[in-house]
Amino acid sequence: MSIRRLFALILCLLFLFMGLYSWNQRTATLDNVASEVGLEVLYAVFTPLHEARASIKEFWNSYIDLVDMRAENAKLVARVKELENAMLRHSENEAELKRLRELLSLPLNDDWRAIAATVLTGRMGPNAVLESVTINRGYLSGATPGTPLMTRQGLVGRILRSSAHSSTVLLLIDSGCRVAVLGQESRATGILAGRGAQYPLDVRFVDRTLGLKEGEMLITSGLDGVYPRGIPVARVISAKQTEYSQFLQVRAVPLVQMQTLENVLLMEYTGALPLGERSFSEPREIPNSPFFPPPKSSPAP
Amino acid sequence: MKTIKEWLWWLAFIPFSLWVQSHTPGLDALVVGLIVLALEERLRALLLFLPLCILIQEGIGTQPFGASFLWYAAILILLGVLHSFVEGRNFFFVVLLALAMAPLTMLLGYGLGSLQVVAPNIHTLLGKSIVQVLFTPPYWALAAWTRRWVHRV
Repeated sequence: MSIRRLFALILCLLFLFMGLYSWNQRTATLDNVASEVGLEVLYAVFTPLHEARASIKEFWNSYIDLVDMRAENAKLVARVKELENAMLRHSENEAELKRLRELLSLPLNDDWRAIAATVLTGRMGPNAVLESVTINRGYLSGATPGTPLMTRQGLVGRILRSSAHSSTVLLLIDSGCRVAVLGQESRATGILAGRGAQYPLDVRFVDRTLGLKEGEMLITSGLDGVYPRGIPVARVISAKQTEYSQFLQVRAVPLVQMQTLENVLLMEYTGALPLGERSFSEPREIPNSPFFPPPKSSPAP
Repeated sequence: MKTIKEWLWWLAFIPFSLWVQSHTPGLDALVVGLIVLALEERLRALLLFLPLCILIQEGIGTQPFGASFLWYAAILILLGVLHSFVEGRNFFFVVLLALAMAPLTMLLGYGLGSLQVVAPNIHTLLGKSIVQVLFTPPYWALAAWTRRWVHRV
C-alpha cells in the first residue's frame, strides 16, 4: 500500500467517523442500535452463564458440600428456639414502633414499585469508560434510562442506557455522576459527586453554617429532578471548614458496596407526580438554601 | 461440515471472548477474531464480523457511538501497514501488532475523551494498553490453534 493511498484511506475514515459521530450526536440512532445489539448479545450470553453457575452452586451446596451438617443442624435448631423466644418478646416493640411511625408521619410511599434485578457483569469492553454495571432488566421490564436503582442499604445509581432485556447502570461513584443530597439531621443540601472507584465521594456546595457533621447520613433531596427524595445515599466521613471557601469540604462513602453488587432493586414510579416532586417518604421541610429554591408543594389530587 | 464447524467455532469464540472481557475491564478480546480473519484473508467473513464487533462493543460500552469504529478501522490499517513490512502470519507478527496497539489505545482514549469532554485518566489508559498488549498474542495463539480443528478435513 503506497503512503498516498494510506493517507487517503485514513482521511476518508476520519471523515466517515466525524459524519457518523455528528449524526449520532443529534439523533442517537447509532447509540440505540448499538445498545439494542450489544446489550441483547450480553444478555443472551450471560443469563445462561449465571443460571448455570447458580445451579452448580446449589447442587454443590445441597448435595456435595455437606460436611458438619448434623452438628450445624443441631446448632440451628437451638438458634431457632432462641429466636422464637426473642420474637415473642419483640412483637410488642414492633406494635409500638408502628404507632410511633404513624405519629411521626413517616409512611413509605406506595407510588413506587421495586423490581428485583441481577447484576450480569461489571464494566466491560474497551468503550466502558464510566463506572458501570450491566443488569438483566431492560425497557420491557421497567428499566428505562433514568430509573433509579438501590439495594436495601441505599442508592446505587441510575439506568444509563437500555435494550429490551438488559441495561447499563451508571454507578454513583463515577466521576460524571451527580446527585442532589441533604443531610438527614442537619438538612444541609449539597451536590454529591463521584470521584472514581478508589476515592471517596465529594459533597459540594454545602453551606458551612448548616452544621453537617461527620457520621451523618446523606439522603437524596429530589431537587435534581432525577432521583426521588428520601433514598439513603452515603455517610459523611469528613466535613471540614476551609479558609478559602464559604462551603464545607465534605467527603462521604457510599452505603452500598459497589464492588460486590449482585442484586439490585429498580425503583419504578407508578404514581402521577412529575419527576422533581416524587418522594420515597412523606416530604419533610428542606431549609431554604441560597442555591436551591424550596420544593414546590404537590397539587391536591 | 466445514461450515458447521466454522459456525460452531464462532458461537464459542464470541461468548468466550465476552466472558473474558467481563473479567478484565477495558480489554477487547473480540479484536482477536478480527485478526484471525484478516490473517486468513477471509474478506467476506471479515465484513460480516466487523459490524457485529462494532455494535457489540459500542452497545456494552458507555461512550457515545464512534470509538469502536475508529479502533477497528485503525487495527485493520495497522494490519495492512505491518503486512507490507513484515512477511508472515505467525506469533511474532501478532506480537508486533499488539505492541502497535498500545499507542493506538492511548491515542484513541485521549482523542475521544477530549471530544466528549471527559478527562481521560492516564493510569487507566496505560493499564488498559498494557493488558491489551499482553493479552492479544497468547489469545490469538489459542484461537489459531483451535482454528486447526475447523480447517481439518
